Amino acid sequence: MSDDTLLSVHDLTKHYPITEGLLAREVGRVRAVDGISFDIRRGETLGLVGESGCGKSTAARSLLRLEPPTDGEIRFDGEIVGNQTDDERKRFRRRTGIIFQDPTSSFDPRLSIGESVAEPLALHGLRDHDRRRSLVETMLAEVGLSADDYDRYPHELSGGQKQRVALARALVSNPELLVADEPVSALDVSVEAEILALIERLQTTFGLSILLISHDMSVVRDVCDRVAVMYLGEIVERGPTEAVFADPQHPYTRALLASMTTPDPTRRGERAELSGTVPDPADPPPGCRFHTRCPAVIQPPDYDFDQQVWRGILDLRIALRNRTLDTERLRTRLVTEGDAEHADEISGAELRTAIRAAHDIPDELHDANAEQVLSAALAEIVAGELATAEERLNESFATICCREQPALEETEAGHRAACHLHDVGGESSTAESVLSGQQNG
Amino acid sequence: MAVDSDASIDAQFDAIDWEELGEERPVVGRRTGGFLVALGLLALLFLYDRFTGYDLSIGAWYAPSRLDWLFVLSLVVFAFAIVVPAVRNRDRTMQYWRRFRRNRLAVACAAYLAVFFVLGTASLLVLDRPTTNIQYAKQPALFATVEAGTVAINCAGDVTGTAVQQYCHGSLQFPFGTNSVGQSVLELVVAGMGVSLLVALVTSMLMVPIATAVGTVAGYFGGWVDDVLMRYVDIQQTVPAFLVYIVLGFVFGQSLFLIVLVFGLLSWGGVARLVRSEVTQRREELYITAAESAGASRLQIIRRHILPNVSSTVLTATTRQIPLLILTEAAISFIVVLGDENVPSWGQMLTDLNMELWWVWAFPLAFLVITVFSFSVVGDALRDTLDPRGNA
Repeated sequence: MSDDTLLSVHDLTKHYPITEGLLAREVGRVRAVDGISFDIRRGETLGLVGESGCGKSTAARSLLRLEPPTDGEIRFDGEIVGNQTDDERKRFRRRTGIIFQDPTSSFDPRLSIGESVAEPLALHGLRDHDRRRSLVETMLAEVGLSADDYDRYPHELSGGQKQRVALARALVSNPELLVADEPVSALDVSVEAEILALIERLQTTFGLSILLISHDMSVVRDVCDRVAVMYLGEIVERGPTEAVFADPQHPYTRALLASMTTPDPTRRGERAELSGTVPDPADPPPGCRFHTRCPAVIQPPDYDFDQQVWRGILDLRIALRNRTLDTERLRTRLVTEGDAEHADEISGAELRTAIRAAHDIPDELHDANAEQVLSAALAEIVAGELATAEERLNESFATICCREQPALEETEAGHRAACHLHDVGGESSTAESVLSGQQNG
Repeated sequence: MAVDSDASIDAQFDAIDWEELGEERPVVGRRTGGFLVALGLLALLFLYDRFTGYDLSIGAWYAPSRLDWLFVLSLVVFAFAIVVPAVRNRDRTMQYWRRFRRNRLAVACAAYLAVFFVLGTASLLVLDRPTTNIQYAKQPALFATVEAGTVAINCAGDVTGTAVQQYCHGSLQFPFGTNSVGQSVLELVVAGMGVSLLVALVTSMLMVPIATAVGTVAGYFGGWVDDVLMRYVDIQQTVPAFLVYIVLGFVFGQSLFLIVLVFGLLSWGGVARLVRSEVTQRREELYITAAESAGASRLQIIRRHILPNVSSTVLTATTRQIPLLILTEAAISFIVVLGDENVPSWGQMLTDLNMELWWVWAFPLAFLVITVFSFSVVGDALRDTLDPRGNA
């Protein structure tokens, strides 16, 4: 941790207990944020990106202690946040500010925007009403509104104007850290650019450090100095923005980058969208959390599948593990699609083909050994012996990605990523080839 | 624009020594101050009346009774809780009024309620009680007739008809006629307004703070606090206040005082429940989080953001509760004779069900219906006005 570090987050964890019954017995936990660490230096903008539901906003709220974190250490300007005295906590509140995605819900409809912006000042003891008003009016001018807007009400303003007011409110107590939680997601593209430009200008004016939370890679690229990519409560890649964008080291980052809108129409075809949805954070997948959707899962050393086929086999495995593979439904579907008259008439072979088709697995694998294992497993699935089939597949198609959680480690590109592709130095060539394969495929 | 202000905002920030400023001290606003002064004055008057030989001549009934004190207190509360804020936020009041005005029926009902309020207050504080006047007993209402000589011994209006069959016509002296002891029905109706107004205001004064406090605490803090408070409300709502009143009436004697006390203290459950659900919604709003992140304490958040935003819910819910209470009071007066202060309740006037002297019960009944109806309509219209989300 260098001297100019303003905020240091270490192993921040926020779990929400799922309780049941009268005594609120804990039956599970939603692991919204599961041990993330990062630093923000003075005057720096750190971007926290990820799909919605990955825990970005929870991370922001916990690090500002708007919700008590389950675990982890937060240091603000060297002081541990959490066990402060009331005065210290108040100081911390004054030195941090936050703006939100929804500009409408951000304002008390019964207060004029001037009163809303003045609220932090009053809370921190600035009793002189005239001074408060003059400071707020200056602040409103600073964010590109006029002093006359003091007496207007939130419903009279547009979304972009409200977001400007939100900035004024967050910055009126002259904070050092601004947390911007999806500040432009609710705005039109033209307004989005204005607000981002305003944030950058205010950063220079006030010497702010900013934690910018967004699901939009292009916003992060435009504004942030460094970026941390979150997936399902964990940081999977972290580094300077140019490095991460130029040479992403985690398949998830690559997928996010690929989903960015490309201005060049000739390159549109390359977009590799992520399949599936983010798994339930109450029951995260074992091993690497991204392996259920990862297009670059490491193959067992004995086989050499086409990566897409391997993904299909893995999907089948995961469906077995989660017991989401429903042969009855498959039968019904075959009937409705006209492949059979009646569900009972469908033969085992037909069902096996249907399962293969559902998971994009070819009718016959190139590797004879693999084909043997797969057909045996499929036969067991059709026979209803799901546990045996699962075990058989697990045994023969083992991969480190399903077994071990990768640590956030230095990669050869110079920044950190949490991916098994970077585990062994000697295998870096494999990592390179798989990752580039993903980009081209 | 930015270049000019950069210097000034920095200068302004530099001038603030945050560490010196310290805590926000709770400032007593002018409204709160005025309210406290008014309460203090009222308390002084009460003590003066209580502990000296002099009787103050407020209250039109006997010497100021406990009901009069309660009523004056609720007037003060009403003035500072409703009238003062409405006048202070004139812009918002006008905005509400423009929305309210669209509902013509509600405007008419509100106008009636204004008259009801003025007459009721006058009847409680200024006007004398209707006096008996045997000489002019059983006078007919305006445009009605009654047999003169036999039913109406004397007639205040014109007498027509043959020498054998004479009819007494209604007169402007007794527009609503008189009852069998010669009390003017008009005066009785106005006195009844006083009783209904007292029921409405005093029970509201009891209900509003309790419901707001319970609903806010339950909604804002949630968890077991919420569970305990709401289970209590469940229990309270399963025991009818009416039953409690009957039982307590046997113990302490039937009285209007007991009615307002029991119904005021036991009818706030529904309002509290509404407040609670409103608060649980508001609690999730981002401006609450923004205030927290700016350093506001829970109490400050409740005071600044929660209470002002649930005030319209409280107002609406209470207004809709009032007609029920007025009806209940009328029903109790209809069934039993209230012991204290010989209450001239509309319900009591309905006991005089005489078809020949129909005006004796018809006018009180009409006004009871109009009053209850007006409160309901205005309550509905208020909900539409203050909470436009409902009809969106």
